[in-house]
Amino acid sequence: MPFVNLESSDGDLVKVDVDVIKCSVTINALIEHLGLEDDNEVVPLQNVGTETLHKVLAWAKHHKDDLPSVDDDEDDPPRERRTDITTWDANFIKMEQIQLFDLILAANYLDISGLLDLGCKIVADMIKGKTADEIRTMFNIVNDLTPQEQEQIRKENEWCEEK
Amino acid sequence: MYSLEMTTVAVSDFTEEIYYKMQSVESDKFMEYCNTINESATESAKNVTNGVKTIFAKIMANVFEDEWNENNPLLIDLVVRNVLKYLPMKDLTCCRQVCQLWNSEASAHLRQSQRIFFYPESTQKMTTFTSFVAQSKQQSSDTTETGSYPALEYRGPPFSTYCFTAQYTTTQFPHHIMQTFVSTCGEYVRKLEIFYPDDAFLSPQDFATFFLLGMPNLESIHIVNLPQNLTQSSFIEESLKINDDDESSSLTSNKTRPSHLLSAVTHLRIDRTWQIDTVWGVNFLQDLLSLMPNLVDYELWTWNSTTEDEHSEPYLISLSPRHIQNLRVLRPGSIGDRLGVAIASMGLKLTKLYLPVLNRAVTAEVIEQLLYSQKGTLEEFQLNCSTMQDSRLLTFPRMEKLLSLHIMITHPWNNDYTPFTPPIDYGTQFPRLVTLRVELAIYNDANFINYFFPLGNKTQACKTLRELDISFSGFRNDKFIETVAAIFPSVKKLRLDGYGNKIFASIFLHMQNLESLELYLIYGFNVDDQMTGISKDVCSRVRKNDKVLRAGGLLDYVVVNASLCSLKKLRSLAIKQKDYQAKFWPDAQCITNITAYVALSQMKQLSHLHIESVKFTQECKQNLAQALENCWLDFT
Repeated sequence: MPFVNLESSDGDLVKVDVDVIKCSVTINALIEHLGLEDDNEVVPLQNVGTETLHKVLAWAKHHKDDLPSVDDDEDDPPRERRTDITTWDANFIKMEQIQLFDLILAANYLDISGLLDLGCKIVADMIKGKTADEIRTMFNIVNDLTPQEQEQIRKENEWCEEK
Repeated sequence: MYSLEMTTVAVSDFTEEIYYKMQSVESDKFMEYCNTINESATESAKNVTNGVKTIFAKIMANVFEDEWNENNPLLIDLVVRNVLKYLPMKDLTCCRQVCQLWNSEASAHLRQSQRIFFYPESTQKMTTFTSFVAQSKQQSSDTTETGSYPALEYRGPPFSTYCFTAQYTTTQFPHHIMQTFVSTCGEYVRKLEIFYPDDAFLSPQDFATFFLLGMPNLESIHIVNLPQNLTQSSFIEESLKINDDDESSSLTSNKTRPSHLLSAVTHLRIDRTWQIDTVWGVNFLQDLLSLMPNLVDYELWTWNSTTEDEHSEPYLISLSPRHIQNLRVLRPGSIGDRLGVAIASMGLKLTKLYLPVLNRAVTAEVIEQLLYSQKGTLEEFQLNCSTMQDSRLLTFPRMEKLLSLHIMITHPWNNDYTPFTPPIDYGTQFPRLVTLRVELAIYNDANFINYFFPLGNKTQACKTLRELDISFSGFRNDKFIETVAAIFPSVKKLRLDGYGNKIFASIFLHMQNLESLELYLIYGFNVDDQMTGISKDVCSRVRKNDKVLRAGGLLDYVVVNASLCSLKKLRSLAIKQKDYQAKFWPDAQCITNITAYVALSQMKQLSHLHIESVKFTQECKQNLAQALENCWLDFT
C-alpha cells in the first residue's frame, strides 16, 4: 500500500507516497484504523487548500527521513528554547502571512508536529519586541479583555518586568 | 443597533468598516431582520435592504473563503501555546495583553518559570509585590459591591496560581519584609527552594514560622545546606505546639490552610546538608518527615566526605522504617562498611543510588551486599571504586531494572587486578541497560580500558544500550572500538573523551548505526586522513595548497578507507578540539579544511553539527553552510 489519494478542499486529488505523509498523525491514524488498502481510496481534507497541500507535501517529502523528534521534558520546559531553523526550512517558510497561516492551520489539522513547530517559530520571531497593540493588528486579533482585566495584567507586568 | 445603521447606509457606500461590523453579526438573525423589513417597508427601503442582503451574502461567502477570522490559527489554543514557548519572558508579558486566550496561555507559561528570590537587593521588589497582592486581594473582595464588572475571584499573585517557587538564598533579607510576604502570599507558594550560604543564620522559630507554618500549601521542598543551628533543636515540634494553642494567630487564620500542615507535600529533597549526619540532624529529619504523611518520594544528598565513620553513619540507621519507606534517591557523602551494611538491611526501595566517595575502609563485600539488596529496584547507579582497596573484587548482581550505570576510577588502580571479577557481562547482568558511562583517570596503563571491555569478549551482547560515554586518557589499542561495537551493537550515541585520535577510523568502520557522535580531538595529531579516508600523504600535500580543495580537485583522489561519511545514520556530530598550546603551533590542527570539504560537506543527513576550536577558513564555513542546508551549524 504505497500510495494514498488526498483530496484538497478545492476538490483536487493528489496522489501521495504513504511514506511521505506518515509524518501526519491524522492521516497515519486514518490509514491505520480505516485500513485504506485500496489505491483508489480518497481521503478528503476539508480544511486544506490545494496550494497549501502542495506546500505541506513539499515539506514532508524533504523531511521524510527525519528521526522522530525526542520529546522535551514537558514538566519543566526550558524557558528559552532553541529557535534554530535550518537553511532549507528557512527558504521553504519564506511566504506571505496568509499562506503561512494556512500552512500552520494545515499542520495543526494534519497533526504534523515538525511543520507546526517551524511555523510557530516563525510567528514567535514576528512577535518578538512588539507591543500588544502591534500584535493584535498584525494578526487581526480582537481584544476581548475587559478594562479591569487589562489594568490587572498591566500591574502584574509592571512587577514582572522590573528585573 | 447595527440594523438601524445599516439600513441608512447607501448600498454603494459599503465600506470596510461595515464589513468588520458585519463579521460580528449572526447571519441568521440578520437575514431574519431583513425579511421583516421587507414585509412592511417602502419600495425604496426594500431596494436598500435587498441590496444589503446581496452584499451581505457576498461578504459572508468571502469571509468563509478567506477563512480569516474564524480560522485564524493564532486563535487556536494549541497553536498559541506552541508559539509562546519560543518567546522570552519579556515578550510573554506583552502577549498577556493581547486577548483572553493569549492571556491565559502566556500566564500558564509564566507560572512555570516565575520565581521569587529573597535577595537583599530585591527587598524593594518584594515590598511592591507584597503590597500589590494585598491590594488585589482587597479589590477582589470589594468588586461585588461596585457592580460595574462581574466580580473576579482573586486567584493569587500573578503567574502563581499553580506553581510559585520561593528561593530563600540568604538571611540578610530584612525580617519584617519576609514576615509581610509570608502572611500575604504564603498560601500561594507551592514550591520552596532554600539555598543557604554557609554563614547564614536563621532562627528555628523563623524557619518554622516562615516556611512551615507560613506556607501551608507547599507541594515540594528542596533544602540545600541547612544551617547547623536548625538541626540542633526540636523546634519543629515546639513551634507546632504553639501553633495548635493559638488558633487566632494571623498565620493560621487562612481559609485555604489544609487541616494537616504540610500534608500536601509530595516531594522532599535534602541536599548538601551535612549536619543530617548527626543525631540532631536525624531528629530534625524525623520531625520534618512526620509532618508529611503524603510524601511520595524524597531524596537525601549529603556531601560530607571527611567525617569519621562513627559520626557520619548513624543518620540513616536511626530513622524509623515508616520514615524511610519513601526514600527513593540516596547519595551519601561517603559510605563506609557500617553504613553500607545498615542500608543493605533496611529494606529500602531505592531507584537511584550514587556512591561518589567510598571510605577507605570499605570492602567490596559491603558494596556487593548493598547492591544485592537494591538489585530489584535500582534504575540508576553510580560508583566510584577508586578507593576500594580489596583483594576480593566486586561482582555485580543481575539488576533487572538498571537503566543507567556510571563507573568512575579517579585514582590509579593496582594494575594487577581488574576492578570487577569476573568481567561484567553487560547483556546478561543488566537486561535493560540504556546508558553506560565509564570515567577513568588512569595515566600509566593504556590497556586498562580493556578490563571494562575485554578483547575477544565472549559474553552476551547488550542490545539495549543506546548511549555510551567513555572518558579515558589513552585509547591506544585500535581493536578497542571493534570490541565495544560487538558488546553494544545498538549504540546510537557515542561520546569519546580522551587521547583517541588513533582509533577514530575504527569507529567509522565498526559503529555504523551511530546517530550521535561527540569526539574530542587531542591537539597535535592531525586526523584529516581518518576523517576523510584519504591517505595521509595526500592529505599533507593538499594541506599545503588549499586551492586544490576549493577547485574540488581532491575529490578525484580515491577514498581508500572508511570515513566520517560511512556513518550514514549520523544526525548529530560534535567535534571538539582540546587546543591548549595551539597558538604556538598554528599549523598542527587536528582537522583542517580538508575534512570540511571532503567529509563534512558530504554528510547531507546531519541535522546538527557542532565544531569547537577548529579553524576552518571563512570560505570553507560558507561552503559547508551551503552544502548542509538541512543542518544546524554551530561553530564556536
